[in-house]
Amino acid sequence: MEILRVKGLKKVYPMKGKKEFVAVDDVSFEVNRGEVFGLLGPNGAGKTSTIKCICGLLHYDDGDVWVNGYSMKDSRRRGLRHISAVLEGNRNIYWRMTVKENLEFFTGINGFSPSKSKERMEYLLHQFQLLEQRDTVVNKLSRGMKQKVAIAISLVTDKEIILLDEPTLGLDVGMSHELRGLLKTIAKEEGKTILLSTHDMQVVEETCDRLVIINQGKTIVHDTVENLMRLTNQHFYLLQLKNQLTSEIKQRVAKIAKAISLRNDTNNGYTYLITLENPNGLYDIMGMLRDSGAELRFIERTNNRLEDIFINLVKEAGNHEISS
Amino acid sequence: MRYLHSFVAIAKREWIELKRYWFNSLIGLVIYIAIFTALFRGAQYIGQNNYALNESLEGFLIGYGLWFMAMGAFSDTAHSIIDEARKGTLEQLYMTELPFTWLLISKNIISTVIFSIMFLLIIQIQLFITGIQLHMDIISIFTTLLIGLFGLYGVGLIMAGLGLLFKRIQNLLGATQFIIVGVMVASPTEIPVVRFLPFVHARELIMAIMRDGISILQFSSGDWLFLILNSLLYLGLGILLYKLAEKEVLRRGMLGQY
Repeated sequence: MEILRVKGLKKVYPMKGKKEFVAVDDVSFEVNRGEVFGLLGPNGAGKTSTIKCICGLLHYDDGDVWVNGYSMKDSRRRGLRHISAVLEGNRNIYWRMTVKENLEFFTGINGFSPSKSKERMEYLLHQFQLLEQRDTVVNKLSRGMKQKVAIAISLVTDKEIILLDEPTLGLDVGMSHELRGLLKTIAKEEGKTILLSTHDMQVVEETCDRLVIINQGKTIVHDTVENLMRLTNQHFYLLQLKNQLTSEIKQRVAKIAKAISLRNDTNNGYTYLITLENPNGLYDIMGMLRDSGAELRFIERTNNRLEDIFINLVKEAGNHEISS
Repeated sequence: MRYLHSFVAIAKREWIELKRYWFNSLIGLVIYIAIFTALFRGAQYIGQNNYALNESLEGFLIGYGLWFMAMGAFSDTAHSIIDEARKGTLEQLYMTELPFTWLLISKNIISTVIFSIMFLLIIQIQLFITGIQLHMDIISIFTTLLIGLFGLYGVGLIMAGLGLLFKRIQNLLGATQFIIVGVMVASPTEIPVVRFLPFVHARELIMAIMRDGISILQFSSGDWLFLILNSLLYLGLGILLYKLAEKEVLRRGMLGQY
């Protein structure tokens, strides 16, 4: 059952002179209750504009957004009863106040009694492993910690829909991993509906049920993550060789494979990612490598990588600026 | 009840900030008193035992205190909105279930209480320094201030709207400080039209309370009507112009930008 519906959304920004910039152009999707939904796209695709239209922080020019049945154009305040958002990560909180003071403040200004929400606050502090930092001024916390505080605040009023704009942006690998785990927990244990925009494909692969990819304001793909990974007819293999391939061999491999790229070179050898449209092409490549005297260390089939799928889709749609 | 919870949350935040930055507030107060003392002693030295001057020194004492309050009131509204936009928290405040206007009014009521306490404290220190005697009818002063300051909050809202639209308005805010000096010294008996400016009638009434010892019970119905209408007019104008700026800001998506 859908809790959020975006239909024919259009946002046009006025520019200097009489020029206009169409940031969101006829974007439509629905998010079901309890679902984690991804909003993907390269820089400037219109992700943040879409999210801001959903939470009523941006007036849109056409289409509409319904939150739990309430139009954000006509009944914004009723819609806001069901939404909380972390829009600019750690910028959305008061850096000069402690973690606990922030939680209490945002509970209060939403019209809830902080004393009645005490149990919820304690639960979130525990869940987000912020118990030790509860009396620390936010300014003194790391970027990842601040991000955790911002997400905890978005959950303190217990609203059904959480909007997260780039939740893992700028986080180190460890913190990004921890946050992905937290998002999964929120969705699973609390039954929250999460709509997140991100560049981080791992977040989408690990947490999202469905996604929409937008580029230059338009929808390119609207499907489940599983379908997207299955339907793209590509096969990925990781090959580790003792020595680096000569450019001549690489060119010959490239004639058979859709793509070949060096993933990393370590003391153990050189690892190449080979993308094939037909898995039988691997026979020819292996023969070619054997004849050239290349020493194979290991070979491994990998799953379709969402990151590659995303890059291909956006390239096909004609955008050259891709962040991954 | 929900409105009360949000009011308490804002009051608590103001208290936390006041407590955390007490040193800054204290230094501001000390500088203010030091400048006042220098100006007062200078005027006294020039005037010696001139009776007329002594009377105008009473006016200067009250006017200086009120100017300090007025400055705080109008810049508090403008600065707080611009500061929230700069910090990135303004968008969160706009996403609360309660109207943003309510959050602003709550903040202004709390600020009025804080400013009134500071005003009374400052006046007491000034009376001690100068040896001047004034009538300190706290209820009358506070009531008049509470109503009068809302007119200045309206001016603050206009500034905040301009701040959201144009981002950098420090020069305009600086210039407005001098305009407020003019508002504080302009006499409605000499130029009747200045009575229509924000806070001027409130200032006249507070002067009457403190200098002549009249209480709010002695205000004429015309005084009450003019005091309330003047504040409502400027507050209404402020809200209207702020809403217009807000509409444009929401169209351009500039609420979180600074």
